[in-house]
Amino acid sequence: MNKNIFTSSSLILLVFSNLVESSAQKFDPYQLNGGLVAAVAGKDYVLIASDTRLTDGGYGINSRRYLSGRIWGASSSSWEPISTLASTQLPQSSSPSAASASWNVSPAKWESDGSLAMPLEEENGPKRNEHESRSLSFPWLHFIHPPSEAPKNSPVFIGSAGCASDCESLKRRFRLELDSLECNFPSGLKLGVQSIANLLQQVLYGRRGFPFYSFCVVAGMDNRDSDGSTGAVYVYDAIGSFERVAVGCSGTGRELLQPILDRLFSESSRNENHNHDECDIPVAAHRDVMSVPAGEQRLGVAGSLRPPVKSFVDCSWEEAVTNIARGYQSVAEREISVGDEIVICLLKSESDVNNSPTLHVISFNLKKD
Amino acid sequence: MSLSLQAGGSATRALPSAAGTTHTTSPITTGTSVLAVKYRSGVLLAADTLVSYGSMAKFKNARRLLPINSRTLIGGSGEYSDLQSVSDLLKRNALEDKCTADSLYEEENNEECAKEVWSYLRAVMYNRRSKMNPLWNDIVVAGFKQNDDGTTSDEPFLGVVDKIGTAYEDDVLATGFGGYIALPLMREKYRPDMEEGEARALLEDCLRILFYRDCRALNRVQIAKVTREGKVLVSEPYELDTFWDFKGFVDTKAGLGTDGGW
Repeated sequence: MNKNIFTSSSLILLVFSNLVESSAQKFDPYQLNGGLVAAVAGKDYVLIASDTRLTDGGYGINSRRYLSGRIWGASSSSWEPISTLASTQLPQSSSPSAASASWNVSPAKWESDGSLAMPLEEENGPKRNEHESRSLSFPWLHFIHPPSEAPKNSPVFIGSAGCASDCESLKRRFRLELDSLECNFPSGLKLGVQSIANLLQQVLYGRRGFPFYSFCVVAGMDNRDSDGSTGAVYVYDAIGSFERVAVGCSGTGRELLQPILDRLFSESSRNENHNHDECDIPVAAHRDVMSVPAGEQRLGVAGSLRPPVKSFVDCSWEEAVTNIARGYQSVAEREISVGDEIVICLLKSESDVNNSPTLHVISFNLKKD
Repeated sequence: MSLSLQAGGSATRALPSAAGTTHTTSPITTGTSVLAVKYRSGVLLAADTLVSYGSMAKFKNARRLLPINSRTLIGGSGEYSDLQSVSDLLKRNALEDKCTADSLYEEENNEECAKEVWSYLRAVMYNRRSKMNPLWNDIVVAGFKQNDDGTTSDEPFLGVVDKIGTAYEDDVLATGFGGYIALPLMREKYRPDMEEGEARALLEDCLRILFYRDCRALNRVQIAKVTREGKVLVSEPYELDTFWDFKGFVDTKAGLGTDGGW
């Protein structure tokens, strides 16, 4: 009798384990949901960009309008308006005249927690034109929603791509850490971009044993310089290694995008009036295009040393936006998890009425296939 | 043996194993796709009522669309027992909300809105996956957003959470096999101003196509809706009529004497 029970239970066991094995699914806590984030530091601006495609880790596209875990404000604390942008204030004057017609304004779409979110149901705005989006001149850039609300201090943005659930958790964990730090500061003092960058390193490294699959960039204005603020961009790996760069990108397809951006930005800074009609092959760089020659590193007689690589690019924000757009278009040609749409947050430290930075959000279409 | 979904919960559904406790790392009894679409006056969900045990059609009248509180609906695919325990958890929370609403502070309604349920589920799912003990589900959450004063807003909400805690919102959603077959069709046909009849026809067409092509699907289905008026309605299971006389179904490939494949 006893033996009978034993054999029947082991039979059940056998059937059960067979069933388990036949489904052949092993639990993997990670998924690479695609997404490519990039950031550019300029002399008086900084921009951060992301595509909006969320994949299922393979060939499936979960969402074409995913953004809330991709670009987010470092702090979830109060987002008070510094300036409300009217359509007349959009940089029509500074953009090529042909472009002004296609800039569009739509209501702000900041989530209450400071994340950026794509408006889901398209409002009555003009339907986007697929053909328009494929041309390579400026006009296909258009504003979706210059936020009517922007943070009080110069905001710091973090872009993260990789495992979407990890990115979302990183966002919440990071804001928790940041808010608990800042609430101890007197009178609303905020962490600067370099401190944010350090904090992100600590949060990421805190999960060294079971890493967040989040590949990040940090973008903000560095206010430490005596001659006004410059853009600052930091780029990370999943476990917290990071460095300050002028142009950085992270996420799926970064191997494709980084060299394209390096090249584009070195050309825009080297040759301001680049003549596209001439068939000129750019002079081959004999050194790293982002490096600073030793002679230019020293500041003044007894001054400090500049870093040996450039920490910001020289070109205008219009050029930077165009370069980013061209870079993303190139990557979207070959990387299936990059596409649908790109959203660019542009932070300009222009000395306007309030002497406060202005924030613009720009978007345009990428390949949908 | 207790089952706890809370953080710090230690008990798990153990497989009989000599090596002690084993976590669920693959599903046993599974439901297939859930489809969801926003329409003019709310959100519509659809799913069939089959729960499979491997390749066996085990339960043919299992309900996978579940109202959680008076203004939130969930639909789950994946491990059915996990879905039931998630549903228990959410209903427990909803009951607590109902019982602790404080009339002193004029809280008529202390219920979580759909977005809160979705956000909470994301945390639960992420927590469990981080313990390598996942709830093996994709769960669609539908309802309405909430204004700052706690009243239900006019904006419909539709989001999904998967077993590792990936959470996203969209106008149309499909889980499981539906992500491959139904979602492209739904994306093509979707308009924000669809009438209920249109949206329902779309979902039923998609369910029918899934029944034709998904071996773990059934033509007995349920439809559920959350409307602007604050109603949550789940239909009784009913059967879709099917048509098997399509030429492509009847004739073998190109009408040639091949092996009979389609």
